[in-house]
Amino acid sequence: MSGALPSVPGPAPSGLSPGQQALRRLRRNRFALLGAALLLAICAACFLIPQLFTLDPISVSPALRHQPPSWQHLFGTDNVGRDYLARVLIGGQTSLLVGLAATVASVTVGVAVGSIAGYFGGRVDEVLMRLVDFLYGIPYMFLVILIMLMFSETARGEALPVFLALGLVQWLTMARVVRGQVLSLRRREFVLAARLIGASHARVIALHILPNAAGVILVYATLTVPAVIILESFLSFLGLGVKLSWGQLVAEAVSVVNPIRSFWWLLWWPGSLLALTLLSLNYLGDGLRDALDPKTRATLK
Amino acid sequence: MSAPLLEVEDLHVYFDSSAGPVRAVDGVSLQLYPGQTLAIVGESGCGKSTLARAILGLEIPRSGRVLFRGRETAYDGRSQRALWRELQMIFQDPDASLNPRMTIGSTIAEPIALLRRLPRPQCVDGARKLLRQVGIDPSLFDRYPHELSGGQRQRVSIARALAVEPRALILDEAVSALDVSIRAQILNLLVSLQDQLGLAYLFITHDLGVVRHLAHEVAVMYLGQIVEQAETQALFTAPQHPYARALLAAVPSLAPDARLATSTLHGELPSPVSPPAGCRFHTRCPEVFARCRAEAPELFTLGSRRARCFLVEHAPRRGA
Amino acid sequence: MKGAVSQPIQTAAAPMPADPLLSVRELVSEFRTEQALVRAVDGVSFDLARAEVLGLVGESGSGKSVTALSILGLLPRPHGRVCSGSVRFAGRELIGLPERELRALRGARIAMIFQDPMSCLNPYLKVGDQLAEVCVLHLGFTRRRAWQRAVELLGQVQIPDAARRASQYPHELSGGMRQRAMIAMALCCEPALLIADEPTTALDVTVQAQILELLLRLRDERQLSILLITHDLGVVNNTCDRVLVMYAGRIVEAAPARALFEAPHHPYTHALLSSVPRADLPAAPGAASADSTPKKRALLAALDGLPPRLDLGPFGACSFAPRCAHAIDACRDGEPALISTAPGRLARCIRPPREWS
Repeated sequence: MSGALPSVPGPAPSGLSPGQQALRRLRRNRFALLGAALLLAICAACFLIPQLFTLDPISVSPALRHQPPSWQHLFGTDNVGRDYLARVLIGGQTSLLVGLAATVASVTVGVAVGSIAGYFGGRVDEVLMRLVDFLYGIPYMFLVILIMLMFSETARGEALPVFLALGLVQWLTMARVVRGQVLSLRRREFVLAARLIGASHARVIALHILPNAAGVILVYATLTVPAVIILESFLSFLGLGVKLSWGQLVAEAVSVVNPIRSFWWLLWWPGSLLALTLLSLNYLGDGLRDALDPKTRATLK
Repeated sequence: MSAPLLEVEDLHVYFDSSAGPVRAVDGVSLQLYPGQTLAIVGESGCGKSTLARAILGLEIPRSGRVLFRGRETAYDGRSQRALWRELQMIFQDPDASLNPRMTIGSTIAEPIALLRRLPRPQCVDGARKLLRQVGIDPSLFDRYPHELSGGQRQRVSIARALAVEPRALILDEAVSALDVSIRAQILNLLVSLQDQLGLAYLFITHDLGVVRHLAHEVAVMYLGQIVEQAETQALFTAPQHPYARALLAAVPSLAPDARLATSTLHGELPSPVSPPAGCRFHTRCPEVFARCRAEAPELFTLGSRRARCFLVEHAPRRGA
Repeated sequence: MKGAVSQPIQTAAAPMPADPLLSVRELVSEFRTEQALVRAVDGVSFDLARAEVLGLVGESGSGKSVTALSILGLLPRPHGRVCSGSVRFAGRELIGLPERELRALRGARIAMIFQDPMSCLNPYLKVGDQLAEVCVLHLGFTRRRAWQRAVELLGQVQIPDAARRASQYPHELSGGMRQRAMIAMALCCEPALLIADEPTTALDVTVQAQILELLLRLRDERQLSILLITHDLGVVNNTCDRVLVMYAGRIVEAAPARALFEAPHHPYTHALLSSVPRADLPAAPGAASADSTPKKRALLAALDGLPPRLDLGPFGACSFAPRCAHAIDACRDGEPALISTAPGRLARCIRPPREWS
């Protein structure tokens, strides 16, 4: 027991589940809370404000083009006179939704593949992991672009192709992470005990193994969202992104950079909201990892 | 004597390893009778844990049979579940034996739902009764394992095993990881459960004190084979096999003024990948002679005892 | 709040050692965790003479390992710290010594071995190299001389074919040999004191016997003092000269080994001894059964309940009283002091042994 903390025998006073304990620890992490609050604020802004104030991102008014922020147009206007506030907020909806949807998809596929590979081992594991390795080896953007090009020109601006492309690539990491977790959990005696009392393989995976890997899965999921959002932004840069998203707006803003006149607001609003969202997600993800990781906290055995 | 509950016939379980085939269990035969406690004793590498897994149907043997209540173990899902309805296992580590994310009540109710297929309210009721039976206040039903002490967790494991109403339990070092004072509590629980429910125990351990207290019969294993088997009292008063003698001599005694017995075993445990020729124990035996190096002794029968040693081929030896 | 009388423990073989090698007085160590402040060691005092084997016995949570770590200043920072007390080694105060000086002592004058040899042995280095390194660092040997010394030491701890073994990696050695290698590493600089924390708990019983034999031989040959920490009463009985029994962070009994096992003076020690199933005595007969089912087994005299929680602060009563079969009302009035119950024996109980044993 060199260097270990003393064991304090006897039951702990609280009736908290491991999940509740983690939540409590999370609440004590200031940065994580800040991240969560910011995220909530941004989501609220993007989804509620356009509804409440019936903002209009589409109507074009050439007379009002390239207006800096003013009381009529809080974020200014873009190159064809559209209200930038509307565009940024609604673009935010897209970015956030695509981020969330692609993450959900990749988590689902990744958890399924990873847990099956890790649990059954043998040939199944080999085949699945070779597939993952193969896909991993293909240059990321190449794969994404390939998928995008399968859709027609007009369809490409829609959310679905982008979401598919992103989701199909992101699940690989999740699969590896989950497989690792499942591999280590599989040897614990309670898993064998579950089999001995009649649980089927599916039940063991679903009720016994995955809940214990839930922490790690959640952390990685939280860190996947910013990765997806950045990817989407990058796709927009290449002209392959969704029609209206933060990435798209940033791409457009960059295209009108010139030394004579600065349209700073075009880049500033989507850029900073993007950065803030990514930052919040990262803080939250880090906070979750610390709250759930037994090694980074001092415990009484 | 009634028919044996569990019969192991000439079981051989081998594994493949990078160094070659490991003969983890190499020709083990034994019987477990209803209500009886049979202890399997041995040090690391003797194959006792592999034997336990093979009996449960978790390892497929190279040859030999395992029969439970006369039925030979098959390795498909249905027969496995039928076997596990009657034979359960308690593990060594109380921390790892319970799902940290399930309340102890759910952990105990789950087998009732799965193997006895009762509806939920009866499962919960059954679970509460079992908690009481193993000495845990049923009000702790909704607690999580981390809120319980090591001894309490082990009690929960026992309750879970009892939930399917088995006839026999395999206990794999079930008290070794517990504190001394808690160990006695759990041993008492096991004894009273055996009396109440008529359970048979296959107790795997290295702790000879526990063996002497709990077991009716003892089998000593070395490198995958049984080297001696006898009734507990007989083994402790007059061990026949040199390894059994060395084992008993090595146990530190609690008698006042007992001094450490000088160890008689020399050498190291041979690798299970290449066990010695002839008698497997001959490389370390203080009483080795020429025949031991050339020929492998069988398990000689001496009345109700068995020992795998040429020294007792024809007659038992006196007490150590 | 402690009420412990700091009395040096006397060896039965000789009157109070005029010059104990190690002298611990009123040691108090605490841990801060996210939930509570745990007083793991609460006023521990004892002496250790030269060439003496002193056993420190207790269950988990008793504070025995923390005591050892506190002596060497090895409590994990920032959670653990020694709050007060004194530890004098060969006349020199260790508490408060700067880390640099403690480092010079550790491994050289005071060595420690653990339950798991792999906590000391680097799996990526050859065994001989690791031992040699200690010699080079602490003794300033040349590489060549250090290697020779390493092989010598491995031989002294009874590893056969030492020269070949020195060129091997830890995973190529068996558990018992790794433990011996760890002991060899501890002996490199000829320490005066060896602290052994559960050194044989993870070993097979035959290997354990060999390791204990080795430790006793080292004590005889080198006048080595050993502080042996364990939960195994049998090990203590067979190897120790004196025994300290710990419970809830305090010493509850101190006695020469033989006297302790003949007649314990504290109810906890007595209960512990009664609850251990004995391999050397026939099992007590249970009720005979009329039918052919195997005879029932008798029950052990088990100790009910659990050790107290150390994070709940001072008790104001005997910490063992809730589980004590012999507790009386006065036991809850205040914490008992460690008093002398016989020459060379101490017990932390207000009731004299003859009243309850």
